[in-house]
Amino acid sequence: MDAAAPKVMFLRPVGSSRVDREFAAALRECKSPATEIHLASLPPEEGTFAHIEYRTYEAAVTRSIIRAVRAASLEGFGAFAIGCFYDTALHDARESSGRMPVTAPCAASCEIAAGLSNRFGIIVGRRKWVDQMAAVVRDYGHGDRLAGFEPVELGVEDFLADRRETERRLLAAGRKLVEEKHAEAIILGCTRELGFHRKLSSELGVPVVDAAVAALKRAEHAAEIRSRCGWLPSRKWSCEPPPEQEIEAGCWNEAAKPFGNRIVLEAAS
Amino acid sequence: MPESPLKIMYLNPLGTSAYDHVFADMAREFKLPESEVHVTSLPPSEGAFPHIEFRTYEAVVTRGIIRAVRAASLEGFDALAIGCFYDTALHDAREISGRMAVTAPCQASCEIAAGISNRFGVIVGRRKWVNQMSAVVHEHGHGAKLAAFRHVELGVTEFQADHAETERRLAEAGRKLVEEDYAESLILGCTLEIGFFRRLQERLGVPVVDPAIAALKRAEYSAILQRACGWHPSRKWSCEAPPESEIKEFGSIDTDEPFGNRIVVGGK
Repeated sequence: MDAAAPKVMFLRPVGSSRVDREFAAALRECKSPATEIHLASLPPEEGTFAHIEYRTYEAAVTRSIIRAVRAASLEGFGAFAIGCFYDTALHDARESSGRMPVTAPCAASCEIAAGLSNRFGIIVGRRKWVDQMAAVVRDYGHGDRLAGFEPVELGVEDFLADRRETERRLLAAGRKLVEEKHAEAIILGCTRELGFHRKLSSELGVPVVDAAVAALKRAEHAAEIRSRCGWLPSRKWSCEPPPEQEIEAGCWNEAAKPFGNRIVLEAAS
Repeated sequence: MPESPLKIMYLNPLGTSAYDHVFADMAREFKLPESEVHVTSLPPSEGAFPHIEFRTYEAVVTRGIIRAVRAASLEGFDALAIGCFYDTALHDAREISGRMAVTAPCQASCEIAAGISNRFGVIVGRRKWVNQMSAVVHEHGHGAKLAAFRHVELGVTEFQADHAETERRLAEAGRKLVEEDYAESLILGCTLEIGFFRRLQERLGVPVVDPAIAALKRAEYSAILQRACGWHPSRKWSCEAPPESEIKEFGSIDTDEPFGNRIVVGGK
């Protein structure tokens, strides 16, 4: 490994490592050769969540996300991506990330879609998710570009169960968004809608943004402009982190392990 | 990894090549090793504008920008950055850019600032600019993150005249944006405020985004997304390009030389 290779962490904010390998394979395909990627998930001791479709589960894993971000920052990562399209705990994570920029799939995907089109639609698993995700999109300033959401009645765990059926449903939802809601680009609104974007794009004739890949590429970009231009996270006003002595005094146990599983995708030599 | 270099054009939307070397030096310092950057400007025959501070001038050079974007697209560039913080003709350029991504300094800078702070301020040359640039920031979706604009009473062509004085004024405006308007990061709101961001960053203790560098890096990022993920511009609905047959029939776009000057940085 090249000691100078930029290091990026992609965190799956779940306590199950069952599909980490699938993610690693998909990210390996589109990562920059120069980057070293660490794909990590949370320790199962923090709850063996296989998904965080509910606010309740998100609230429960947020503590662990913050611990993981803090650990990655201390380990010297150049950037960090939180791998859930709710962008779970993004603002919290950015507060305690030190000199490491943090991104997440919804922020990254909207930014990319806004650069490729004037109006985009988002395919989600279940209607349950739409209210919260719409609020996240609006928070980033992309509300005016949002053509709509289209659910496919699949839970997070179902997307990779029957790939043919998933593709059929994603394609039907994409068609609706393009033809009926006049979307000019599509975002796949769950990181587990993984491995479909190229096929969907060629069928639908519009760009289709994979949310997990978008988060990875945005993190690589953040690491690049951090090292080349010195554009580190601000620590002024609302970006002020909590005092180190308070953290050390017992915000959490820094000795407890912050990660469950970790797969390293090495930089090309 | 693609064997061919990422082909990036940084277009100065001016009818003079006077500043091309400034941006070529910038590209040399900040580009990715795998990028080939062409710094170009418009032919003086389109109007020998050394700046486009006025809507009138922007309106006049827009034709030149469209012709240049079209030519760059046909030449096979992966991405193009329009080098003016008004993001002059960005939407028009995106319509005609084919498979090439187009970005511009205001949009690129706001994206970066929004990724590393919750609230940013913009330092511009003259108060004249603020109304229009504020509208551009809002249009890109970043209105709620905008702390304020501060101006330094310098025109575009004056920033590079007396570096000590420019830096003094930028630092003072930056200090006010941070201390009085609660900005958490700063954007330099003119591509000719180049060469100052590092020292300002050190002096002010917040990130300072240089818009020319931001646009170059965003263009490279777009090119990478195309190569690695296949994400090209949409051509659906409002993104539909004019018909090739009409472009040919109406003339004026694909005619004559679209560039006045070109400096190639990197590549073979």
